[in-house]
Amino acid sequence: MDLTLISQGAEGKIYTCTFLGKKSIKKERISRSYRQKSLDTKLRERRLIQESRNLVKIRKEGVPVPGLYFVDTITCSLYMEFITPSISLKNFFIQNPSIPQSLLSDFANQIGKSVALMHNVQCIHGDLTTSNMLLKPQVSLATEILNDFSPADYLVNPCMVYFIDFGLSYGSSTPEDMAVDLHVLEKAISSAHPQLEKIFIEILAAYKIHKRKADSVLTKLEQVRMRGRKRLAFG
Amino acid sequence: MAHYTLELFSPSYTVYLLYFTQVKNAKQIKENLEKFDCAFINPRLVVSVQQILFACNRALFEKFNNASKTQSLYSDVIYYMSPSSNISEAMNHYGLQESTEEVIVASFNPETLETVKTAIDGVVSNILQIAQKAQAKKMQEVFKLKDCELWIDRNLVNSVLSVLSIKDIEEND
Ligand SMILES: Nc1ncnc2c1ncn2[C@@H]1O[C@H](COP(=O)(O)OP(=O)(O)O)[C@@H](O)[C@H]1O
Ligand SMILES: [Mg+2]
Repeated sequence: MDLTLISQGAEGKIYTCTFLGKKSIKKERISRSYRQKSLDTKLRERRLIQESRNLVKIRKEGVPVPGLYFVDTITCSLYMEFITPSISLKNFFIQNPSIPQSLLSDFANQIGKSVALMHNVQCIHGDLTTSNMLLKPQVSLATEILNDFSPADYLVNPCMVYFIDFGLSYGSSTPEDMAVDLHVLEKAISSAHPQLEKIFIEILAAYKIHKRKADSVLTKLEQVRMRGRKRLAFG
Repeated sequence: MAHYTLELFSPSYTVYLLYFTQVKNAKQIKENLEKFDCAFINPRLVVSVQQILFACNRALFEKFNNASKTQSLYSDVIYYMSPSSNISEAMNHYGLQESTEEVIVASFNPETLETVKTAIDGVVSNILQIAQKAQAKKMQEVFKLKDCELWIDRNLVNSVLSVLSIKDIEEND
């Protein structure tokens, strides 16, 4: 198989490859040597299954996520759609110093709605950061143009915000877990993109529209924030 | 005859496909199924060649892990085309029907397809046409795809493969 490593995290390796004749992504969970072997295998397998089920579950709700192509329970790998061309929201923000407000609002709406749709079916993402969101232009362009899409090109083409990395996702129906999920995103934005902090307000507004019983989550979010501040003050 | 690579295995496997239209002797073929070393697939619920490759890949994968679901590799191929974990339901949706006039034949052995070609009274057609012939409404029903998920992609391929990918995925003991 023509594997090309494109990213290596703590828990896994991401490759591009050709799978079933299509350019795809392979996400392989690597074993952690400090864990006992049988426990390690078990954990990796459980996470793999969790990730695949949640990916499919929330696609069914209309959240843009990569199509899943195959779950390899032997090597603990997922094969999925290669979102391309794409740029992580994080890199998009970093590489475009000035982004029109209308575009920020568009992305905030998409993000807030998608997180609400996940939470509506009791799926907690677990790692909502701007590196786990990918912008993909919606237009159908000629392949030559798609191949050298620059960060600035994403400013002028309508994009869909894809959610990836469900490796830490889990099922929960408590407002607390949903509030923490949102708070992780809030902190991720304020630490990686302090100048864009305001976008979170719009994300919450969209979340409120689409989330059933949003109020209890937003009340919890307030408490979660306070706990965070206390920890900072007295830490 | 179209052929495709299953990259997962090393050395890789090749799947050979033939698409027949205007088939006149499906009943006769069905009565002699065991004579052919291949899968006869009903194309009505096939969104793309990828769906067939998925099923071939999965059937081989399970065979190598001694986890085949049915009696033969090729009935496993039929089984993994379907979202249903009920074998007879899967066969109903994707297996050969006596009255059918169209069929896709899949095999890992190119010689089998030569034999099949002489046995089937029908017209060999371009496999890439199956995408246009799939019954989208029926697909949506069988795969339980809600309208709200259809805006993500322009076709059903990613949604169909997603549903199939998690079929029968369970933790090993
Ligand atoms: N389906 C995909 N399409 C395109 N790029 C992807 C895809 N999945 C992952 N990537 C790229 O690989 C990086 C890491 O993948 P991710 O699933 O977030 O794993 P990790 O656990 O290492 O963070 C992403 O930030 C993204 O750049
Ligand atoms: Mg990540």
